[in-house]
Amino acid sequence: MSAVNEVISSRFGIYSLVLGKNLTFQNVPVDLLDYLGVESSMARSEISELFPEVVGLEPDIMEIISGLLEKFLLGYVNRIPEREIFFNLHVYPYEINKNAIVVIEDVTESGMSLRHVQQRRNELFLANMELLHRDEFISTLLNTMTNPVFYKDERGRYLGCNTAFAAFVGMEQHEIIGKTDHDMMFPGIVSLHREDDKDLLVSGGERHYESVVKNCRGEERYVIVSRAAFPAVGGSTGGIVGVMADITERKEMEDRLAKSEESLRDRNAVMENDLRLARKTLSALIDETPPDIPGCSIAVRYQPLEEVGGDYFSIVPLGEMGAAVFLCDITGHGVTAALFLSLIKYFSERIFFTCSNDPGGYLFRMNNELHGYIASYFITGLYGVLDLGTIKKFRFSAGAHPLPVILRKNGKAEFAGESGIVIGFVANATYPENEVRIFSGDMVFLYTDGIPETRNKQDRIVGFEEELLSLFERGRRSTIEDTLDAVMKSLGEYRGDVPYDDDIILLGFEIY
Amino acid sequence: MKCKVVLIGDYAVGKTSLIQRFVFDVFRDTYLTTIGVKVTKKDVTVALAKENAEVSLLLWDIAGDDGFSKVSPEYMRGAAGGIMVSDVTRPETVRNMQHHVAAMRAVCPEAEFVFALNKSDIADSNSIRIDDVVAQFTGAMSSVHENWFVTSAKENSNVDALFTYLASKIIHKVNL
Repeated sequence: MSAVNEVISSRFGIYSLVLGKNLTFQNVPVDLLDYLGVESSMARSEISELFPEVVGLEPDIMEIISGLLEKFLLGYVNRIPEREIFFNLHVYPYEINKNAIVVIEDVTESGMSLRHVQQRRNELFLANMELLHRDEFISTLLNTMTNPVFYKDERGRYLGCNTAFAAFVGMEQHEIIGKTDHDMMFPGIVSLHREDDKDLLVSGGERHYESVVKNCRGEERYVIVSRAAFPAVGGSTGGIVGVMADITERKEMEDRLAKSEESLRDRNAVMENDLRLARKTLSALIDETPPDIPGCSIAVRYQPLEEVGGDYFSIVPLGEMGAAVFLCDITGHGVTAALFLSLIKYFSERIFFTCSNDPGGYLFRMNNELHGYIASYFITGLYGVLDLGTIKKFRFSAGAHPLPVILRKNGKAEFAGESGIVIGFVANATYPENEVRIFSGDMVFLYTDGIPETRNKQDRIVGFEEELLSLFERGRRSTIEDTLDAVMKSLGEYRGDVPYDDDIILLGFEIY
Repeated sequence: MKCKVVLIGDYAVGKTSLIQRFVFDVFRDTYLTTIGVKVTKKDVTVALAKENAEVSLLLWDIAGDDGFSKVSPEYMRGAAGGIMVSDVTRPETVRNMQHHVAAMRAVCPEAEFVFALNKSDIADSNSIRIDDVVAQFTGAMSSVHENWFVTSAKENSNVDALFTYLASKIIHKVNL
């Protein structure tokens, strides 16, 4: 025992103990108790109490004592009594007493060094793993982008790219790395290389420009290339990163749009020409100059919209008897309306031969002609006979048309008669004939709905009732011409800045 | 009764933190590599059918497997139980648990095991869905049954449950 103690005690940081067959220490030295940071009461204790690290390993130690095992080692046992210590726990057979000797070898210094190295290595592993994850994330991000992305070093060699760029140039991603534009023998990409790359590398910043490049299939693509210098470690410029946005579809769409606009302009010009022609045609159809009729004075105000209007009138002298008047308003405007009006003019002249003195019959015929000819088109209209014989009267029939206004000599205005249904809507519709006595000094007004439907700023119309009558009453002047001027002026004042949205025809008859 | 319990897992999965939380109820955010063997004792009470049993758990915190230095099988000898620890934010540490189990079973075939899917507190910030990790883990480990816990030493989530569950399994096995 003393020989062993001598050998072991001669080394710094090594303690030895004799372990009895019952796995108990008889006399643990105080300095070892201090080293382990345990109380002095532990001087006599079981090995598992002084060294709980061997719990579960007692059978191995028993084998040492029995001489079945040559040695037992528990390396780098770590404890923190006051300061952190590491020790190796050795157990050897002790043949003299047929028991075991326990050696505690302090390895704190190497343990701390080992930990330092291990710690550094593990931290590097973790950091590396973080970088790998970040790299993987960036790679996934880039490959998810549909725009080709590439990055090169300061000498123009590709450092990497995304799958969209690889597909664009027709190479694998790994094949591109390390190559320059010229290495790839790809003229489309060479055209991406700009002289200002050098400037970009020197001054930094970004460049954006539009270019036409050919992809690996030789297809010409319009692209917007954005390039920016990226920094290297240390602050110098590391290279250039570039993103290409393929705008070929947008360009093609712009081209198509431009062609479409051009085509529309051409068609519009044709249409405007057609409208001018239609207006001329309509002007020829409508005789705005009223005929001279004995016994009355006639005035006309015709105000079509800029486009071709849908209103029509005709005043035909009936010799000594007076005059016949036809006034109508078709739905819509434009060339179709003009063509339709020419048809109505044709019908009206044909019917006039047989029904000139029969307002109800006139509209009945007109209705059936229109319904039989163009079932989907209809008009509102009025046909009347101004009978200026001994007993003056105005006989008329109306198809859903605003009723005539009679402005009496005493200044009072009134509506006359009643109306039937729209003309051309149903076959064989009948139109009641109205008769109203008129006297010398009276005025008769016929008009289209452009007058009662004139709208003011408050989005209110003149209407078909009292306000309309008032308009004529207030407009009454000594002559029919002045009266129509006054009515149109009042109408303009009522409208204010609101633009007209319908044609206007106003016919006035002053009875002598 | 004293029981040796070893915590095994890759480096930096939180073995030391789990012990620190369970034994001292503390958590340190700094990572300190464990070298060699560090044993911490914790007495726990396990409820049995007729009475409670006191058991001293000797928790072996041993250096983690870093791919270069393997966990020494010697350290596992004599263990009554093993806690396999992984980091949910590092999928490879979850996969590696089956290697650790195999290594321990080779040395301690009778030992009881529990699994800790640790660091659940940082799963969200790493865009990790715990359900996916659990599915991956239970899919790969055929004999896991119910003995796994999603833990967080930092938030003290399921830490006591992890250790006491293992203690209970060990005691019940001894009492059979």
